[in-house]
Amino acid sequence: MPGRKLLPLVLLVLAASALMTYQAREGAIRNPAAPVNSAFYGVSAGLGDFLSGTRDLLRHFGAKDERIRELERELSLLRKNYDQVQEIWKENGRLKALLALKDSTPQFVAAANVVTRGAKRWANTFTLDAGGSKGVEKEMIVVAPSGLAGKIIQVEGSYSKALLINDVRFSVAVRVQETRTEAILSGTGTGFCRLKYFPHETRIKNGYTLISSGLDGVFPEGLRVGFVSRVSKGEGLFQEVEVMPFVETDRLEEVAIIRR
Amino acid sequence: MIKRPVLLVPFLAALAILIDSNLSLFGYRTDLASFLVYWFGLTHSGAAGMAFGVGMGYMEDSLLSPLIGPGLLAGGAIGYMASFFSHTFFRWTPLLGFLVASILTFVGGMAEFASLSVFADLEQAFRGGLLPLAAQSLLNGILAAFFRPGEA
Repeated sequence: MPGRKLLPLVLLVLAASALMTYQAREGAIRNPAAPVNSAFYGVSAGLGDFLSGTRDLLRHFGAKDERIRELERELSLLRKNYDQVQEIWKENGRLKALLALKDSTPQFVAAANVVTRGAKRWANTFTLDAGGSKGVEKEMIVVAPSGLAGKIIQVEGSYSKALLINDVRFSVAVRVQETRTEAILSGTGTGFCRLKYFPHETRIKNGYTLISSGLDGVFPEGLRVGFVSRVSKGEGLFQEVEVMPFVETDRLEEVAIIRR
Repeated sequence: MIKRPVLLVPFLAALAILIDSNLSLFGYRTDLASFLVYWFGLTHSGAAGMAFGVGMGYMEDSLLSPLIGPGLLAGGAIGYMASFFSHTFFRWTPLLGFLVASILTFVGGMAEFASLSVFADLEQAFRGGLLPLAAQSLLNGILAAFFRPGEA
């Protein structure tokens, strides 16, 4: 590729770098596409429901003769209805759990649906349909009935973006419930998290529960975080401790946003 | 076919991103946004490909990324580089299409990773993101084998 043809590419790299440097130093820039984004998230949530329904329908589709087809259509419809009822039942259960969380959490700010999960492969983020208009603020905490899910990193009028617990930029001060040992838990970008700086002499084993200690000044004390899934000796001064979050990050649908 | 590509950017970008956000194959999210940029670059000039890629990347960043820039950079690079493979000495074959789309998707993903590593401290996420990126590159490569440069 001749040097002259590379010029636009070089200019692109420079312009994008300048833009990202500015954001890294000054924080997120005001996004002119924010109103369009709100509409997108609405459509995305609708499409998700539609695809889910279509998937159910296709799963039960197909027949060899007319009678069988007819019966299967009825069966398919019944199954679809059954799936819908199941879906409503499950949603009801999740909402009840969320309601219980709301009642038992005085720091409750808002309930929210997850409208998109970061399709970006390198960042574990998700978008919630609650924003500044519902009182959501940056650094607020996102919890699910099963435990800590993440924290808010960006707020717009009607939606917000949250960082998931398994993102590498996420960290929380935790306490091992069984031994009361304190540690720092960080995301790894994969399905599990890791305890940082956990010395060899400190006792820990698979299945131990981790709760937030509140010592970081960001998260309240006592939130369920995860359980120890693997302990290995590791190199150097510290043990390698893998932690599986209680929250299944790829199955989150409804969450609550709380303040510290 | 597409006379005013710029007008279509938001629509196509939104559609591709909608599909990418909702569809997964074998547990991996698709990356049709990158494929669309590749295809556009392949069938238009380098400047148009880059403009389309930048527009698409901006939409992606705006909707899904904590930082505006990584997708924009990746999209622009894919759109620009894709045009070279139809406007230079390369003779298009399905295999070339497969290789180019796979490589460009991978390069775009790595550009995003490099940007996020430098500007958003994501250096440790490499292992978690590599396999999905490889799967997306493969899928885009397979798709690309069916799209000739002259078909737009």
